[in-house]
Amino acid sequence: MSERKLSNSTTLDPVTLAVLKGRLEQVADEMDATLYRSAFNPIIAEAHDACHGIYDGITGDTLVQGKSGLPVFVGAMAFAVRAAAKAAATRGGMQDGDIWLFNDPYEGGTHANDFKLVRPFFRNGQLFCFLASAAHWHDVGGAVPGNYNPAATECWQEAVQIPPVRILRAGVLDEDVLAILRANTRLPDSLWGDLNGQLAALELGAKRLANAGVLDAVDFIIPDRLVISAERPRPVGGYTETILRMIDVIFSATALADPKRAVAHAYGTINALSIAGHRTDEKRKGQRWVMFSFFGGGHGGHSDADGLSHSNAPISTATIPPLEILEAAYPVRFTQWALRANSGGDGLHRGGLGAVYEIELLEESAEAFIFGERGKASPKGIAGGQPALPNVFEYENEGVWKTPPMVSKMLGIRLKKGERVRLQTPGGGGWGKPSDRSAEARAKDIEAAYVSKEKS
Amino acid sequence: MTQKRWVVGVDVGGTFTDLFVLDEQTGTARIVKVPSTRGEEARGFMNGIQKISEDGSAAGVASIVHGTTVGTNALLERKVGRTGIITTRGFRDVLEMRRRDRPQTWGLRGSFTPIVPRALRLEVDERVLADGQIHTPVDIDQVKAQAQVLLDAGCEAVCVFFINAYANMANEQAAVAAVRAMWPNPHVTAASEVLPEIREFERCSTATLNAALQPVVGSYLTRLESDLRGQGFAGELLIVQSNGGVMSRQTACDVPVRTALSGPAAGVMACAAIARAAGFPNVMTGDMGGTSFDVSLVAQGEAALAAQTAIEFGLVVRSPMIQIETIGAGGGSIASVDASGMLQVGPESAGSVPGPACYDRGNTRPTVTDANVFLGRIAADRPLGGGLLQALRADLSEQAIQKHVAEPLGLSTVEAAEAILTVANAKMAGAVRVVSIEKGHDPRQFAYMPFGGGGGLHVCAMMREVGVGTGIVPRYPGVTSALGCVMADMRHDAVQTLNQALSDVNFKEVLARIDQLAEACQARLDSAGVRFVAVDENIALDMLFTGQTHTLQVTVQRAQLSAEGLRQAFTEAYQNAFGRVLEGPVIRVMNLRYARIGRRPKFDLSVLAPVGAGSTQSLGVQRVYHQGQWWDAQRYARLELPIGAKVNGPAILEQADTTVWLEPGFEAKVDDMGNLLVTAQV
Repeated sequence: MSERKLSNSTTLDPVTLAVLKGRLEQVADEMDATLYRSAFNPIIAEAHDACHGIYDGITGDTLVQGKSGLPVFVGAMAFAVRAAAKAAATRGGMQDGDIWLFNDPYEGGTHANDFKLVRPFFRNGQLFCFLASAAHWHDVGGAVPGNYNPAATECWQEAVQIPPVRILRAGVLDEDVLAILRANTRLPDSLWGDLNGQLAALELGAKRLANAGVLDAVDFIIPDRLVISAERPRPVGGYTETILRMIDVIFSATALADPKRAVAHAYGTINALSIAGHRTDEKRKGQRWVMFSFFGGGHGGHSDADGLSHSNAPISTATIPPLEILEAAYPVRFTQWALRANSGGDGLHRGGLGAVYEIELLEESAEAFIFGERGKASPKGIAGGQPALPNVFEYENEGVWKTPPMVSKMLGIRLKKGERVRLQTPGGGGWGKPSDRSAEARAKDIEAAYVSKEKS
Repeated sequence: MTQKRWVVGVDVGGTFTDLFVLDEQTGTARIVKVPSTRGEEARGFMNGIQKISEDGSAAGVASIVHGTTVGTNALLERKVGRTGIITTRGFRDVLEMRRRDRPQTWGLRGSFTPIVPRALRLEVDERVLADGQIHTPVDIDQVKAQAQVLLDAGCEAVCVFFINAYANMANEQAAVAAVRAMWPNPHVTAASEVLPEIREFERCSTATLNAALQPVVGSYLTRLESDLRGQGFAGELLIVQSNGGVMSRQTACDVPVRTALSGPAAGVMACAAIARAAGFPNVMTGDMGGTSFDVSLVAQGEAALAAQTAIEFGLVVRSPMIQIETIGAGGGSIASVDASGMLQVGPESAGSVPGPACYDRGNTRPTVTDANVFLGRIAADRPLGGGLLQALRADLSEQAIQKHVAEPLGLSTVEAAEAILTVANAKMAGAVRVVSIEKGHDPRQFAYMPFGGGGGLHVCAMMREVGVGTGIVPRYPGVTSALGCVMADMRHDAVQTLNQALSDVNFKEVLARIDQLAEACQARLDSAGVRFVAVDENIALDMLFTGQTHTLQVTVQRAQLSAEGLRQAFTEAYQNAFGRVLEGPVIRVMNLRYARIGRRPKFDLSVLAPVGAGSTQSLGVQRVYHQGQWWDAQRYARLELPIGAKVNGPAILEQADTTVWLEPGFEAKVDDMGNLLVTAQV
């Protein structure tokens, strides 16, 4: 990735610009909504780990992106569009009715679960713009169900690597490519359902697109060979964790400049937990199941108020699937789904609370995988605020609760029926000095048991 | 005994309490407007009722249908009864943890105060599994002990909410029976009675808000009814629900959460009826007030329903309700130029206090109303409200637009004012398109009906932007909700989660369950003592492929309730929604939805029509700036225009509660019911 220059931008009056931008955003929003409604896996349907947008036909620059997708995709998608265009240039060019598909994380950011689909849009026989869709597929091969592999040293251990290929040619689905995709997942029906949703979203977008404008693009510079610009074959599955840490670093930096406007660190880890196994009941004997979800934590305190308890990661606007939906879909029982007392950093405005999730296995056996961060270094407070409690993951084994050697990361934890795993997520950091917190606020914390008496 | 002759619709708004009085004896209608008494809604209500008859008695009133925002306001201001929750061990924080969301994407400065504080959310030992199996029977002694703790803590209301109770209500029912036996009042809500549907947060939130509202709405309606009885009222008091149907006073006290959108829903129902009568079964409605623009869709005469809404961040109510898309674009929406040089209108609003710059009450930033005043669409010396406001200061509008929009953008003041309207219109048109397109409709196949105080000023712009062929301005746009109260049918909705593979569904049981729901809904209908001309039922199933979490609602007839019948119906619905048929994945049936509708006798909308010869005389000429030039627009008194009268744009049509701006190139005709039908000139 390197510095880019703006394309020739057509000058539009500010009123027309505002009107066009609104219309295009609406198309992107509709594409988002179509995928959420039709997706097969809860990471897309409930957590909205997806993105749709419209991109410049020449430069690939972002024109608009849907408002409900993951904010982390802002920026990354333009690179994905360019990667598809580059591949197409060597293989006959972008043709009307084609849709390019790939998950190569080194071309267009993020990780291999995110499958990007790029569709050229033609008007009067001319390539006019690109429509693109990205979405997090449930499982795409590799060593770990759900693909968050903390032990990976190369990308192939994380997931199958698909370069830009045509999934649609002149409007016709390429069954060969689909067959390869289906063969490289533990959950072929889920994969096909999600892919189908993305195709429907792009179809709808193309139908809606009547007008387009050229907006100012933001130039950004990312130097090569940093942890945030990893190159093949460095593992990137857990890219979410690096980004969250970057955000914390930036928050702390802004706090030095202007603590009033800065927010203390949020819980700072996505906590990808998967539990997977095979069904043993008569009807579904041998069927594979993979429960994969991200878990919430507290947000940092700020100048107005205490941080929000149990919220989503700053990079995402994802909601968590209802536990009743998870229990109905997988052989697990939650034994706790609660706020975690004392987990928010103390301060004039306390950090929001993290959560305690405790899950019991109802099947004969399963394996669990956890990929989290903030196990050792807590989210920090700012302007004198205290740090939050760190991330704690535990699992039951022969009646004893254990913690992973790598604290918040572990592969292949074997669970037997009735055994549990427990995730206690960090809260947010505190804002301002604890000595400035009012007696009234402290009394309320104790009454609600947000903070236990002995900790106060 | 006085003969009961009047049916009265009452909408209590923020500023005015509107009464629509239908005289069934003479077939005439009239409107009573009195100031609202915020915080003491019953008083304004009674003031209005006393104006119906000459002697102030309510003995001649046959029924009163009320759209109320008492419940919604109580939630927003957190002025609800002290409420406790008794729940499954390990889950007392479901209400506060929400769905792990946040109020705004950017900024991370959100906060949330749950309606029930944590110390009043208590746990007991019990557990039901997702398949309905009882894992741990409920410990009734613990339930009683926790209920006592809540009573001792001063709770007036309680919600019993158990995990997975949608799949098996036994534990929750046993617990709630024990609580009811010892609770000193009827304010006890069982979550699975209010919403026996999967998704714990949505069920818990809906049921808890219901419990918290019971004391508030219950005491309001009880006082209202006793005041009415004291005034000689011997008829039925009915309440409008969020689903657009009405319910008995008793039902409203039991499930007050169903009043969340009571007032706005009534407005949409009125629009649906007016449009239907005018020959337009497909219509989109746009209610433009001071801070917001609310859009709804009516297809084939029926208002579209949404599954849930949030009163504000984290206060989720899940029950079928009129779908209302709200955007921050009202008369008070503030126009500004952002750091990137982009003109923005709203969502920030000057509201009605301090109001637009032209009100001269302290706001100096330009609003949509300022643009309308400066460009001549609203005459500064004749503001809306018929005497409520003093003359408007067009000079202050000009200053505000000049400083905050014209200068930063390098435009003249008139260009800047028109730009504000262009951006506001584009935003509103976007909302209209979203509401129609999301439901799979082409907005160009619909008529557009503006209502509320500001809708009429933008009717032609909406028609141009969206491509709508006909605009319908109802005769009294400002009292549409009160009118809707009189027109609404009685309706009750019920749901039951099934969560079974289609091949496993026992349809005998499903039919038996439908009969039970029908019976319960019918009992609610009967409780109101209202006469129906017909009773209809709607049956729908939420279906999906195994693995999905979002469902597709499939409406069916009883005869289609078989595995094959449902497979066909679902495949067809899926194809329509997503353009493809999937083979292989197992089809599941998630929820059974049932609605029973008691049709109330319809009155002839021509009672609204203008009587007599009226007048088509122009009141004079007004200068209006539009699309880059000044026009001479004729002014008319809208209510004086007789049936069949035709007016050509550019014209301004004035009435006490709204102004219609008829652009050049448009014409308006008064139909048999007094509506203005706006079309492009041929």
